[in-house]
Amino acid sequence: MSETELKLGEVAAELIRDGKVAYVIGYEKGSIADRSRPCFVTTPQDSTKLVWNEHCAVSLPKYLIGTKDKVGIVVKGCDGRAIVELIKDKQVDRDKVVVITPPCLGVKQTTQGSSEEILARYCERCPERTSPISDIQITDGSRKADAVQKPKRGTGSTKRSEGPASWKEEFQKCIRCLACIKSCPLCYCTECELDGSMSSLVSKLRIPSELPTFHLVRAMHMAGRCVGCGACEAACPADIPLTDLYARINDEVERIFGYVPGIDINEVAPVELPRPKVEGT
Amino acid sequence: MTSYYIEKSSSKRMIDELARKQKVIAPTKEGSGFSFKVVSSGEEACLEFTNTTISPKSVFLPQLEELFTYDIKNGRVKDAKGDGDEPVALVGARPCDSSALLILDRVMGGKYVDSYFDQNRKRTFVVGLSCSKPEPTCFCNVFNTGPIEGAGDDISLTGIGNGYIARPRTDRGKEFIKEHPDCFREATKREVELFERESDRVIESMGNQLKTEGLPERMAKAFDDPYWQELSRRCIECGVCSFVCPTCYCFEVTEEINGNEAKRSRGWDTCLSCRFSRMAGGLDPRPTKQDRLKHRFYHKLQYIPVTFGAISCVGCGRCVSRCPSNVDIREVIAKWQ
Amino acid sequence: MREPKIVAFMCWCSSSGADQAGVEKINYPAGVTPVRIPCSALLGPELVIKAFEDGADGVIVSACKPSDMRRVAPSRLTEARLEILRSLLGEVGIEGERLQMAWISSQEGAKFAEQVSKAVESIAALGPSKLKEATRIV
Repeated sequence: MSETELKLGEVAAELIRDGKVAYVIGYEKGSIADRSRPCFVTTPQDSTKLVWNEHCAVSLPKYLIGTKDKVGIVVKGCDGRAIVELIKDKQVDRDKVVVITPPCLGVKQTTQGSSEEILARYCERCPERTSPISDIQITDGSRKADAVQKPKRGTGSTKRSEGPASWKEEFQKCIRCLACIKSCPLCYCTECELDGSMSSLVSKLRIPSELPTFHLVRAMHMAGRCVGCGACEAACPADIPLTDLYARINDEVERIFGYVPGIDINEVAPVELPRPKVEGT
Repeated sequence: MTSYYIEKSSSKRMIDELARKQKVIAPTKEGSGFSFKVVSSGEEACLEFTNTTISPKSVFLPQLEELFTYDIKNGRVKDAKGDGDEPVALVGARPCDSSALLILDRVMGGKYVDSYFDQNRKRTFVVGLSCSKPEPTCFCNVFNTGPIEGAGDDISLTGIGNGYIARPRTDRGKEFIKEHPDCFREATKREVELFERESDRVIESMGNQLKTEGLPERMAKAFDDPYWQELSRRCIECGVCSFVCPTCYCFEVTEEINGNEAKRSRGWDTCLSCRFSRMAGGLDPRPTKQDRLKHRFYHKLQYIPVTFGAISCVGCGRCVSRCPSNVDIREVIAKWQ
Repeated sequence: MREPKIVAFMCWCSSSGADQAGVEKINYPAGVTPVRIPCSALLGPELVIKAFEDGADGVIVSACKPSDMRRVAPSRLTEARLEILRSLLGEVGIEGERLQMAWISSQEGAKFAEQVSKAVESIAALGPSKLKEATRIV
């Protein structure tokens, strides 16, 4: 157990013991090597289950949606940005969440044909690994406790994304399982427009001509909202590089509106702004 | 059962031969993984793979299948042949996927035959391929659905050295071997020994201490266990498990109307999705996430065994490796062991 | 050359510009399918994307000029949103020029006909949309 994990366990145990939260959402060891999975710590004893490593790929703010209790949650940098957006969208009550931020290690994955793990592409694109929101900061032994850093901004901070050679071909790999939507911390619509059982925009079935529509509409829904956590890509069984598409669209939003999602809880999202910075206006 | 031998190079030729007379579906390299696709030659197929993300069940139960078209005005059915009855060869099906076909046969056959599935089953020749490197998530040995021979194979191939031992399991398999003496010859005693050693090696390499005896009964007793509430908390109801599973068969039916013609199709659906069991009027017997996740396990491990006499899991491990939240059916099987 | 299939999403005011063109008997291309919406800012990207999926070669969105607005100009927001959508459509090979915006007030029949004709011409020059080619049964 690492020092961070020990401290994490102590923090969680204390929060539960003192009755400050109903439970803590964190990660525990998975059943497969190199996999950590979500866990819900409800007793102080269970807090020793908590782990913190480069395999914490699931985005936990997903589990805040619809929760009535006050809960603790362990977040990476991107997850913190997701919580900021959820608070702005009034899907999460700031007073009902205790945000615990250990130092973000990013997510590492093995590449095909090699056992070496490298940082995920979406982590490389991250504007700032420090979570913009934090109630309890956990530092590892080697770093002093820093105040939460104000992340760098500007059109240079988000790298212009590269994508696959043909998005049309990538979309044809899609099996319409909706894992991208279900794993996304910012997808909280109870009647999803892209779920054919609730909407007439697309069928429930995998109709090939609807595949570009599905992904383009999703990308538009992610414009100015996606925080680049990569949960969608980690969940996708067809290995479609979704974060490349959403990063591309967010580059445009940043260029036009000067807005990067999740960074500043007081910043109004572009959809509410009456006057975007479009040339010639 | 007589064992035959085929050189690795001849196996490419065997695929070429098959492709001459029918559509051949085999594993191909796709991106960083593999997937079953139509190939026109042995060169296009890649038999050095562990397994594909999506099972080859789509050869028998396509993800999108046209059922029939009809005239709206008089209801006369115009075309009801589904995907047709031209012969197909599925090459490289792993034992788990092959064995899954026999489980699907029980559900789709019997008293009420699903004619489309039946047609696809009858027209498809299955050449199975034994596993040599099971994944840590594989547990077919628990259900005896692998790792060497698949119950749905017409011919089972097991790699030894520079070739494969070929064991025909059906009359069709035997016939095919007889028709291709340029590819197959009878295996020597030494080669059969190598095959037996290889089989033992692979089976031994798999751990898995799961007990399946009495599993349906254990599940029945555990219906109200608080474990289900705990397990379902991290499930995100994405349904990827159902999509990758070789024994899942639930489907949704839709109709498209174009002018005077209507087309009825069906396609894969998942019982994890929140409106799956919702009925007209709004009643839903599985309204919560817990209900739905629990249902998946009960369907596989208790309902199908009780109704159709077989546990509906073949241990392919796809749901285990692809579940974003690491919901693991092996843990469910072991829970009340 | 085959006439391009175009869908024109028109806000309430600009659609009366279209009516005006009719009243004044001003010609504009016949291959344009008009769809009236209350305000251009209400136009979800879904409708534009669906139009392209269904085989449209181009989409025109006509909105009121900001100078006609009393306070905020929702059509400015529309313009920015369409710019974002255009870059996304580019990723699937739908050229930016296939999605055009027109600024039309309610009494401008001639203006409507002129802008729509110009838009249709530039879309026609691109040929038919290649999106349908991209989809195949796997």
